[in-house]
Parts: sequence; structure tokens; C-alpha cells
Amino acid sequence: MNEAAAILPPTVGWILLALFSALWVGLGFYWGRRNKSFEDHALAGRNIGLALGSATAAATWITSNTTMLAPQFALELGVWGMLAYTTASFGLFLFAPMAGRIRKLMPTGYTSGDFFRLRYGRTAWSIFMVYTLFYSLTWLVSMAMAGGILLNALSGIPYAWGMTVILGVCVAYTMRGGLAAVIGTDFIQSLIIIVGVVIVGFAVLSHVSVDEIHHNLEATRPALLNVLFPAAIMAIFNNLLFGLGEVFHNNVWWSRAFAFRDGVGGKAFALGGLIWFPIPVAAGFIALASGALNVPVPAADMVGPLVVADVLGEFGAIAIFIVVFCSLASSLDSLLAATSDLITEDIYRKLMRPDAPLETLKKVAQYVTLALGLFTWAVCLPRIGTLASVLFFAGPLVGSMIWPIVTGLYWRRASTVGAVGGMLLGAGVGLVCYFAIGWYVATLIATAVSMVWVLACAHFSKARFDWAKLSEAA
Amino acid sequence: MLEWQSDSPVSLEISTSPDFSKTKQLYAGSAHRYFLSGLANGDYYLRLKTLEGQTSTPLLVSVVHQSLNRALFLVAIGALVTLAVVITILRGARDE
Repeated sequence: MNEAAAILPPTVGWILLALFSALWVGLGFYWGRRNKSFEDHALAGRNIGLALGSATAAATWITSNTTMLAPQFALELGVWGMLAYTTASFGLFLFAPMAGRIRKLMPTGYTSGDFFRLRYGRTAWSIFMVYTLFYSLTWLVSMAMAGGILLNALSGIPYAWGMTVILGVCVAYTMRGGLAAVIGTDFIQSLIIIVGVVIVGFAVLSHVSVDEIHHNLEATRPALLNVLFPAAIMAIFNNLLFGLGEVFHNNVWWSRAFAFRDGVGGKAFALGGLIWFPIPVAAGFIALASGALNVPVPAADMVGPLVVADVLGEFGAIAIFIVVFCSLASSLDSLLAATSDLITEDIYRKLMRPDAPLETLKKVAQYVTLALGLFTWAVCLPRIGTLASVLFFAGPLVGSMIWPIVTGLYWRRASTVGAVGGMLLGAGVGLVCYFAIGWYVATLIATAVSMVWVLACAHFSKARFDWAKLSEAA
Repeated sequence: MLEWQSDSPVSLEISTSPDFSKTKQLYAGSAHRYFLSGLANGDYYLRLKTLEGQTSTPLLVSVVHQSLNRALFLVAIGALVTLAVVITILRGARDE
């Protein structure tokens, strides 16, 4: 896409960008004014209630991929592909009971790194850190790139400028406001996204009927309706397990489990999953309508925004611009905050300065957020790689961590040998399958291999972990 | 992804026969790219047609999907692994 092909005039794009940038930065600074220590900054005082908790779970999970990759799944893999993307909600549903368990076992914990270090020791923690930092940085880069690409496609704002502004805004309010600002803005962003998607969905349906969409698909893309479309049915469990791996291991979700008020975590994550579930269905449906609407699709990951903009004109372009900006900001800020907390707590505090005062840790977290933003910006500037390939490369890594985490939380006999071997073997075999077969099997194979190893080790293990050791994190 | 160059609007047609005896129109308009997906196994011929009726040289596209048996095998593994995760979480800590 280029400026000439954009539907929204660049001036309108810049005005919207300026207005929402000012809103998020202003709110971030306002909500961050009471943060005094690292605990306030990283975990919002551990006092987040159900409404904010549910909204932040849903908003964080509505990423640029929900608006770009879910339609791409539908266009490439059909109805099953669309449903495969919705299985990512299972990550939130299944993390709901785990959040309560985490809060109970680690009442003073800060990060998912704390869990790995205390539960399995330094070796497992080191592997976890490599995997999670790779995944988190991949996610950050893919979203910042998506921001630049989408703003350019919708309004003609040059890629480099759009990416820089959206990243800069998120870094600014996350640095100043910490998790309180992230969760507060998430609440507003989730409301805007839901209202926007509902309006856009009904508007598209008023232009084309379900029958017309079905006839068009049957005539021009019949495999998208095939219930036995091989690549599509392969993607179902691969995507589901990718979602589980992402949520189960990443500090974005663990920091929320620690930050939510006692008893809130389970309900908040379950409600967040319910709120999130229809979003990729709506986004995928819009993509399936592209043929019936005679909308040319120049790139699969742009189909959703382009259909909306093409059908609804300037109003649609404005609506999708705002929805996309909110979905990007709600995930970028969460990831910046959670990753900076992970580096501050697990590397700076635990490895370098165990006696650092909480006020100093807050400052370190702010500088780490800035450094993450600069790193992401430098990687994104050349605009290399496609969204899907960048994202799915991390699939085997996160899939291999599912079983070490689940058994580590619930089974005293889960062992370090099981966790280390499960992560190394699972990720190794999964990556081989990624290149030998394709991304759509890599996470599934990684999780299955890891499961076999972890369960075998637990079966033969004589060790019985003392849960009290997990409460030493603070 | 199909890409072409044209100064005027075109229609993109697809057929299963090289002589285009039976065609379906995939797109008509001024775009220069089209994302092709969702075709069943087989050989397909694609061509561009201008408003004046001029046609481009046909392009042959062969579609070969993954093995269905392998896909179903992977679905079975996926279902088993997912079920095991769900059961482990819902059973909770039984050995405390």
C-alpha cells in the first residue's frame, strides 16, 4: 500500500494519531502520579478489581494479530482457520484457575521468572528467560511493525513515522504510569474496540448477505468451506496450544495474576476470554466477505482493514484506524511493562543488586522500558519479514513450556530434569518440524514432545517439592 | 499472490481447462494484485481480460494440498495433548 492507495487522507490520520496519543499519554501520566515504589509501578499495588481486570485481559489479548492475522487465517484456511484463531481464547479460560493458584502459592511474587527460578532452579530459569525474551521481543516487534504498516495502509502516514509515534506513545505512558496506566488505558481501549468491531460488523453485513458470501466462496474459493481442509484442521490445535503457551508462560499474564485483588484473577481471566472470543470471528468473517464484495486483497494480512475501509469508505477507515490504534496500544503497553518488570526483577534485582531499594527498582524498570522501546524501534525501522512468519517462529518455544508450568504449579513430583528436558527437547523437535513441515504443526509437536518427557520424568521422580519455597519471591 | 501491470481496469478469470471453455471471474477492477487461496486440488488456468476483450497469456497454477491422513493424525495428537492439559489443571493439586 502507499499514500495514493490509502482511503483516509493523511491529514485525518495525523489528527486521529495526535488526539489519541495525547489522550493515552495524559491518562498514563495521571494514573502514574501515585506510583512510589517498584510494587506500585509493576503491580499497581496488587489491588486491581474485576472490571479493570477483565478489561485488561481482553484488551491485551486483542492485538494487531487479532485484526490482521485472524482475517489472514480466514482467507488462507477458511472457516476452520477462523475458528482456529478463536481457540486462542482457551489460553485465558485455562489460565483462570491457574491465576488463583499462582496468587495462593506466590502471594508476594513479581514475575513468571520468579516461579521458574524458585520451582526448578537456575538452569530451567535461564532457558525460560531466553525463550520468553525471544517471544516477547518478537511480539513487540511484530506489533510495532503492524502499527506502521496499518497506519500507512489506512491513511498514507509513512511507515517509519506511524511506527515511531505509536511505539513512542506507548513507551511514554508505560514509563511514567507503570501497570496502573497500562490497565487503566486498557479499560478504555477495550470499550472502544468492542463498540468499533460491533459497528463495523453490522455495517459490513448491511452491504452483503451471508448467502452471497457463501455462494462466492463456493464458486471461487471452495476449499475455504471444506470441513476436511488439511492445512486448516492441522492449524486448529497448533493455534490452540500456541495460545496456551503464550498465556501460561508470559509475564504479561503472570504480572496480572499478581496484580489482581485476591479472588479476582479467576473470574477476570474467564470474563476476558469471553469478551475476546467473538472479536476474531468478526474479523475473520469480514475477510471471507472480501470476494463477494469484490475487494482486491493485495496482501493477506491486510484483508480485514481493507474490506472495512473499502465498504464503509472514510467512516470505516476512521473506525478501523481507531480500533487498530487501540488494539496495538493495549498490547504494546502491556508487553513493554511486563518485559521491563521481568528484566528488572529477574536480572537486575536477583542477579546484580539484591539489596536495591524499591524506589531504585522503579527507576530501573522505567529505563528498561525506554531501552526496550529503542531496541524495538531499531529492529522495526527496516521493515523486514512478514507478521505470520515472525510470530510463529516463537510457537515451539512457548509450546514447550506448557507442561513444565502446569505440572510445576500442581504436582509436587514435577522435576527440574523434566522441566529442562521438556523445554529443550520440545523446542528442538518443534523447530525442526517448523522448517521441515510448516508453522502449522510446530507448536503442536513441541508441546507433545515436551509432555511425554515431563510426564515420564514426573512418573519416575522421587522428589517432592515443598510449596512453601515459592512464597520466598519477595 | 498474483501481480500484474495494466493501465486500464481488468477482470481476472480462472478455469480448469486451458481453452477457458468454462470460466469464473475472481475479480474485476483497477487493482494490480490479487491474493489467491481456497482452491481444491487440481490444475487451474488464470488470465486477465481487458474491457475490450483482449486476454493475457494464461498462467497455470497447480494445487496440491497436504495429506488428509497426516492432518487427521495431528488433530488426534492435538486433541490428546489439549485434553491432558485441561484435565491436569481441573484436577488441581492432588498430592499436597
